Amino acid sequence: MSITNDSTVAEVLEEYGKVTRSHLTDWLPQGEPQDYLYGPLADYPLRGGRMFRPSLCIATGRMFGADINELLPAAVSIELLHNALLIHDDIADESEERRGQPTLHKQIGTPLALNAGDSLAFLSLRPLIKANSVAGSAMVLRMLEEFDQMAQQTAEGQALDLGWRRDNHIELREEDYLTMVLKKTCWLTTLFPIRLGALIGSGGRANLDSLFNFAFFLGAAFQIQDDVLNLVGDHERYGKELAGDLLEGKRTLMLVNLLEISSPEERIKIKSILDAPRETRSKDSVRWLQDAMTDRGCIQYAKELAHGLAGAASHEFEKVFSELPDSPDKTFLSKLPAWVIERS
Amino acid sequence: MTEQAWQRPTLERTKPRRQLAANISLTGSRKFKKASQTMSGAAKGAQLGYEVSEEQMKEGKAQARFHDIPGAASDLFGAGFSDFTGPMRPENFLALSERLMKDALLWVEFVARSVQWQMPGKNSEDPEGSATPASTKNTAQDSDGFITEVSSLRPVEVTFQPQPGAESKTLGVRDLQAIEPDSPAIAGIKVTREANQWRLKIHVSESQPPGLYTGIVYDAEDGAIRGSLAVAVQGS
Amino acid sequence: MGIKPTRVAIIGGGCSAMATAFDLTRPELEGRYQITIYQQGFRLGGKGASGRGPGNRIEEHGLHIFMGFYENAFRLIRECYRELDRPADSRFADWDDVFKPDRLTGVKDDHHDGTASHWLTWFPPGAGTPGDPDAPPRMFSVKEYMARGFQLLEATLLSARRDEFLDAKEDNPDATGPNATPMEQISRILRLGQLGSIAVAVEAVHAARLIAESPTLVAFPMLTKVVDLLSEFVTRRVHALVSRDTEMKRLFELIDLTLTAMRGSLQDGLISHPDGFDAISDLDWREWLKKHGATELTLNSSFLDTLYNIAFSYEEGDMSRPNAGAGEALRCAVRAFLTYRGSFFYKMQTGMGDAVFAPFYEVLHKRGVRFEFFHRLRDLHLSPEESQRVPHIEAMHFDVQANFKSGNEYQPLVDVDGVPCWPSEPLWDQLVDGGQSKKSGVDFESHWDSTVVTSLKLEAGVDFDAVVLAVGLGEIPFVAGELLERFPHWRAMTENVKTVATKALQIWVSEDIEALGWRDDSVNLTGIPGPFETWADMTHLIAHESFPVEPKSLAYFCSSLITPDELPAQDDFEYKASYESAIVVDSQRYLNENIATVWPNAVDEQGFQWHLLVDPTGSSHSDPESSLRSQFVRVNLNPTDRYVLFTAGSGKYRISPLDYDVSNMTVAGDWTDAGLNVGCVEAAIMSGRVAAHAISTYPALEDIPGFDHP
Repeated sequence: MSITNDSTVAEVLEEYGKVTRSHLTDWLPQGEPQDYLYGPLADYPLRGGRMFRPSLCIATGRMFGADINELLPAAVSIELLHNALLIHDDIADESEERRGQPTLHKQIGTPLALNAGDSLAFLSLRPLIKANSVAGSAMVLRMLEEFDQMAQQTAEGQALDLGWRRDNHIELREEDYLTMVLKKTCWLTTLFPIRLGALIGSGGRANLDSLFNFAFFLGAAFQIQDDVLNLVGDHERYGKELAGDLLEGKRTLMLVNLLEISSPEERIKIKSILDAPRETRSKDSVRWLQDAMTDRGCIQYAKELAHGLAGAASHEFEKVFSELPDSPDKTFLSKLPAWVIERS
Repeated sequence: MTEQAWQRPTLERTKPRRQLAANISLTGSRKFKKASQTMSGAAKGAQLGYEVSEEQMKEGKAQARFHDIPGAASDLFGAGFSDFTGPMRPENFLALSERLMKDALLWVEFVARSVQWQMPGKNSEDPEGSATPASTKNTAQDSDGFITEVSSLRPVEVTFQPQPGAESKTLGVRDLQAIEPDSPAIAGIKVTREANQWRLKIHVSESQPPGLYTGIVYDAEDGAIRGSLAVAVQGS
Repeated sequence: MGIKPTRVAIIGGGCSAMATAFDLTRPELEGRYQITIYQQGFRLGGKGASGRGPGNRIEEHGLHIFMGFYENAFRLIRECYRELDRPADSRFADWDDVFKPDRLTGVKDDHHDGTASHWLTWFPPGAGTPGDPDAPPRMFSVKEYMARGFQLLEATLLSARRDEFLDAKEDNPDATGPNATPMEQISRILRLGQLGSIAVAVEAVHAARLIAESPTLVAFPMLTKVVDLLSEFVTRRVHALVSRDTEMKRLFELIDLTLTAMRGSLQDGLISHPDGFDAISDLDWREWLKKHGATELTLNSSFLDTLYNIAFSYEEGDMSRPNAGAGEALRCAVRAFLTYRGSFFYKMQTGMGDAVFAPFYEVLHKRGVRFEFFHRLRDLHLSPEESQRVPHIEAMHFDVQANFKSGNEYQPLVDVDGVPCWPSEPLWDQLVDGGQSKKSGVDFESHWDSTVVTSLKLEAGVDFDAVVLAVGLGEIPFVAGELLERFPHWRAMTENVKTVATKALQIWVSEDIEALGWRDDSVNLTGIPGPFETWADMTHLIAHESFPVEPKSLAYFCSSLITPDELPAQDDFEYKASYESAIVVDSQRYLNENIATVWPNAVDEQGFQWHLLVDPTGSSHSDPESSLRSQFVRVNLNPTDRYVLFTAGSGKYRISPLDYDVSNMTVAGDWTDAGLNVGCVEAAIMSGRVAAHAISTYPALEDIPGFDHP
């Protein structure tokens, strides 16, 4: 493939994204029911996105020596699952827009969207299972074990996040938040793709646990930056509703920090804002929260924290991958820590 | 002077949460820290990352042995350095895939339940603003206007939380699922509105394993979520 | 501000009343609630009230010991002491000057051959301290309790490695390799059909723990099989040893009890049951254990007896009718054994009134809470019945028992060596006609005393906005008649949630306990036969009293008391006196006949050596009865003083402070449904906090440790 040591991160993502997308369509079933299932199911995958996750998988695998064709089933699987979870996330968060278009459940209704999401999630296993003929059953089994672990961790992280919102839990420390992010976001976004890539690329020989910190720190920095952008980012480029997180009452690092540094009276006020059902949460209270986070330095703090995590990710990268031969993929991965926090 | 007499506030809930799910949450410490950090944000970020990583590794080690299925592929790879050989074990493969499906279902269930939880329904039709979500045992009629007709050989407890505005809709109920992967769903539940009261028809078969079954109540016309339903089937 | 505060009338002055008042007047609530506490008689405390008698001796209601799992009680007490901010050199400057760890406790075994022995156990300290305001406790689910249970079993089994247990083949050929997964280990063990040795048993327990700790429930069915194997192993061993080694026997009783509780939890689906332990509350605890296969040995063990004794779990005080709800008992047991922080037990270094209620009084007073002593509630008047409307309390009627000179506020505390304390009698000097009342023997706390100087009517909206009914359960039928009439479930509650009267004896002795013949350290012991089965050594309190001749030891005894079903009429003044005499006779007999089992040197051929008792005024006595009457005997007959039981099947009748029966009233007390549902300080304080939530939504229910709990 045509990436070089000089390719920017954006160019690599573009390249690997294109390849993944073209293979992904092969896995989307045709036929009936079209309007009720297969049409909607294909909506999100075909809308286009950053393709960060599949690119991570491909780059890691190639860095370890695999051919891109060995990696494409995994890349496709990851992207399909990611989109399935997006469908459900949008329902849970009651979002109206995604990537500039209406969310799926807004188009076809929630029951059908839920079903499409379910189906897409299960579909994401198919490329891995079918890889049997190429990779052999032992490797497939191993990939399925990785999938299993990732799925469980993601569910746990999701449960924490949703559970905290449901119960309006405000006694959270940064450690709690980070643990939740690890489970909910990092496993799917960085740990699983990187582990799969290394697994396939090394033929099962690599010690996957040694990659944990790099992947975790990278994913955490990624998520925190995401949350910061939600508050202050450019709406068009960002692709989601601005300050949507505040509307949802999402527990971000900034919110956790704000709660930690607030006085008891302020905490009561914040708690009551979060308590109110979403539709009654006034624009004024959202703005108050946003201003508080800005004025009290929470946003700046979060940025710094993400910075620290990205730095730690770079450090881990050096530790773990220094013995692998140099390659454009290795260069791409080494640039990611800086990229996740500098993007807008 | 007739002032409005003081009344107790509406409460979010009136019962302890005794279930497993409620205990997943982490308890945090209540330190009211001052804004000045003694460490720079960046240094803090790195430190936090390593702390959480270590914590997870410790837990992961305890659980990793559980994750290993006897005869699973990781046996074939040993500690990660042996060669790629070994017989395929079809029965393990099947068991593994089954488990994966169930994990996915579990996750899906959480999403479905969370949608209702984010909008705690207050029974605005009650003039006293009485707090408790409608909850009843068997065929009791609750004073909040909620009748259940349950046919079941075992005691069940039903918790029904409709959202405000649900009364005027035609409702359907998705099959109720339990957290336990092996339990069959409870299907065929009907929710109707008669004479200003909710009427639920629930049939629980003899062989239904005990446990807590939950699901979504949705608008049959536009598919929007209108509430949630939970049925706890008690052990014999 | 500009918003008028809500006026809250709290009726009662015990633990729950203190908790409600404390939570509602926290600075964060910015004075939103104006509290008035209405208390009959002259002192706060309810069942925890204590006073100071002659020689400044501490006179308690009964025996109060705090447990290390009392997270709410300690939390509030610690915050109270912090706010009290006493000078650092005060005798009781902070909570840990008053509450000291007490780790040794004992159970007494009677053997068939007439001998007796004592089983003493030392509980290791738990991490942290209870009620730490900066480090909230971690609460567990049933699943995690099981994991901890396996952990304890592992430790117990390892400590039981005695020669007679080790099988010949200790290097077990069936042992699994170091990399085996828990499921592999258990599979192999199950294939064996039985456990061959302690080594294998330990392996099984270890693997079981890992399964219990794992995040999903997939492997749980295996655990039942493991538990069965372990039980069978234990029973086999025990039968081989029973006659030989009593310590081993007790150890295995404990293991059997734990395993049975686990098996029962698994079989009854408590892991995922939405009601948690309440699911088994309809059975008596022994019944439940028996249902799940506990051995006869365990069912009859003194260990189980102790657990019943501590909570007076005998119907109507009759020791031949033990009755304790299995759910509540199991919940308390797991909390007590598995979640204590600091010490298993804590002992107060002074009377409970001085340790707890005086500080609360001072802090609440400073916060602006008003106290109306000598106010006894007579009835609560409900608004008329209307369909579809929740009624409210329209008015309350009180008997005012006394007036104060020069219209001042009553100052209830006395100073004893720099410590603010409650007296054992009202401070007569402050009362109008006090001298006369004292001479005629007025007892403001007695149910059968009807001294009234005036009646008081309080109206909703005029004198109060909200009511917290925090009187003892026994008092409810006498003050809440309209509520019982209006609400069938209130009637059902008074009929099914039972109480029992108790009695207490305190004796000051001129020899120390070693000289009296007790060979071990200071102890709390239960299982002594006779009218007082529980003995607590309270010698540490002597330093805070002021006897002219200082005694060398002090003992508290307590027990339940059988009383007739029908309470005598309110003008039957002889009732209490006759009981007191009966108890004096009982105590005499007890000291003559039973005390020798723990104090062999205190008794000779004629019986108890009465000269050993020390009179607080310094006088000496020539006959047993007057000697005994110089000591402190207490009979708790007042309905509001009766101890609350948790008999099988009664839990579902309890009323929660969160229930919305009356729009401007809630309830508080250890008799309510507020998470713990057992008669103890912790349950009362939790209930008070839940009541505060009912009034104000503060504190959040999630912030009340133990409320969201199986």
